[in-house]
Amino acid sequence: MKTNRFLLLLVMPAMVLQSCKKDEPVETTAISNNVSLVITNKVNGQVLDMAGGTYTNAFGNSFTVSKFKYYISNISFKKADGTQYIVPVQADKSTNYFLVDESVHASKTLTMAAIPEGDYNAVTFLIGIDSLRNVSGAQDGALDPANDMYWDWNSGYIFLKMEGASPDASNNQLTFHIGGFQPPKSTLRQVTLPLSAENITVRKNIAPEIHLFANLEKLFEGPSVIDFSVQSAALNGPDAVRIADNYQYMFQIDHVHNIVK
Amino acid sequence: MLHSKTVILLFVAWLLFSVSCKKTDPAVSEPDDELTLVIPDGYPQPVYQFQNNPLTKEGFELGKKLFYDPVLSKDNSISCGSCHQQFAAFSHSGHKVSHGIYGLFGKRNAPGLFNLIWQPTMMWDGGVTQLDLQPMAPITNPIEMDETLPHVVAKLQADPQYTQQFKNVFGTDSITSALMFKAMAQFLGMLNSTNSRYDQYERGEAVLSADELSGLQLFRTNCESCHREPFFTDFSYRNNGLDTAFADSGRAVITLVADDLGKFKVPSLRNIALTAPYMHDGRFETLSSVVHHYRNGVENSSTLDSSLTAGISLTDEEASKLIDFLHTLTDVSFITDPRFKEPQK
Repeated sequence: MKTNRFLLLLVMPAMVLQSCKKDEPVETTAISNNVSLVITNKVNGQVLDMAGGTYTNAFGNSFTVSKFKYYISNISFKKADGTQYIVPVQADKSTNYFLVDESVHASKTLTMAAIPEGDYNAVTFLIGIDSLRNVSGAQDGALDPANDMYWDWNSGYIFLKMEGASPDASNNQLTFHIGGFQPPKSTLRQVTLPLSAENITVRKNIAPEIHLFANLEKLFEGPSVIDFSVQSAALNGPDAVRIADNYQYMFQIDHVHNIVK
Repeated sequence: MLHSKTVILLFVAWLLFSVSCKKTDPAVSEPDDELTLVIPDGYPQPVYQFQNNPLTKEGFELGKKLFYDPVLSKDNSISCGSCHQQFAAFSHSGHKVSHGIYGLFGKRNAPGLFNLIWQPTMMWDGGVTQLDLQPMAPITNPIEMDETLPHVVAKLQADPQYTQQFKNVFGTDSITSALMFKAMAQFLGMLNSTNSRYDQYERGEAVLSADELSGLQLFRTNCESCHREPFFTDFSYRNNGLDTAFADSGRAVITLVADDLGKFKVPSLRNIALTAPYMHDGRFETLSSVVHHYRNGVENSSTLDSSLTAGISLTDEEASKLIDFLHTLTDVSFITDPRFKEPQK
């Protein structure tokens, strides 16, 4: 009996400790690793230089860039067998919502944790923020309205901001703030990029990196060639949709890294 | 004997076990009974979902403090309460449009603030679709409070009183714009006006005079199609014939649709006797000039509401009774509710 009570005293703290555990998913043995998208913003093949770079758009207007920010969200990876792995969003974090800002170096590497082991041959994402998150009230992290990417007068996120100057623009200024999530004037665009040269291979010891270029000049060419003397700004509506129809072709895979670590 | 001791030990173990399972962080306040949101009989469920922002007394008090604190403006001169005064049902008494920062004038009349949790959209043009983020508009508007969210958050973070209050409410003293907005929504969401003499009459608790009752009948015949009970608005956007050409595009600013030119959200008529002047630009000083507009002043245009093409036909006597009725929509308990008063510094 004495031993029994002694045992019970031992067990009590253990029970207490045990009971403190949150209801986390049972630890599985599934192998996973990080995958990162590493973005380089470019213009006409040159690395974007906001300090002194002067560029020419497809119409022939010269321009400079002072701000380049955009949202990437809802990232998923496609396996060779056609199945899709959608990066889950944690309840308390915006882990599948990223704000890429040319002026913030760290923002150009988008790291997603716990991607299951496997070979993936394509990456898919949204330029912008899905409609649900546009109407989900006050949010944190990448979706904090303090990031200057939210319209207070017309509720919703600004998906992409490009600001700069051009001698051909009225007032010399370029102000492209592209947003709007409601069809038919949605500027949300889905991009799928096949990894044609080399799949990414997520392994216990391989955390792949996908290196992409975001080609800024594409905002002003493609379906619609933009003449800055005609259009030097856009917010929501048809002018913005025209830019969105262009920016869906902005991204390009450069190469992938499957380095054993 | 030994056996019963074992039982006691087991009981203690069970107690410890059950207590330790509680998730609630002791620093986070529990919902307070004093602040239960009451939905009156016959009212629909609110649009705003408090389950995503649990209402607490401390959260409400923090939201109230923010509402009345000029720290939200760039030069610390103007608070939300500057242009939304309780005695005027949280409209700006006597102001066509409000003064913002640096003495600048706004563009539109500051509306009363009440029953916001039922509103599908805010603002005269309906541009704001979420109560949480409504305060961002005046805070960041250059002619209202001219602040930035990062700067407001930094000012709050530097104030030990605020960091303590945020910790009490949300369990963290790391202030974000989201937490600030949630606290403000707790205050704004409690500003509910459902106890006017009209409401008391509807509940069988008060009587209306013969003229007021005639006014109610006239209202239901002539005004109800847009100013629908119980909110006295159907939350739609309509052109009520103020102008033939539109200095302010109204709803079309948001939708970019020509059919919406010159349309504005139908305002609630609750507390209407307290919220002069009237219309989106505050052009009418009195209720009689508003009623006069509907009787004789409706201007035709391509987007004029179809219910107003012939105006509203009322005799002088009927107009007077209608206005008598509109006064029964004044909610004295709302404008004197001590919970909503500016806190003493």
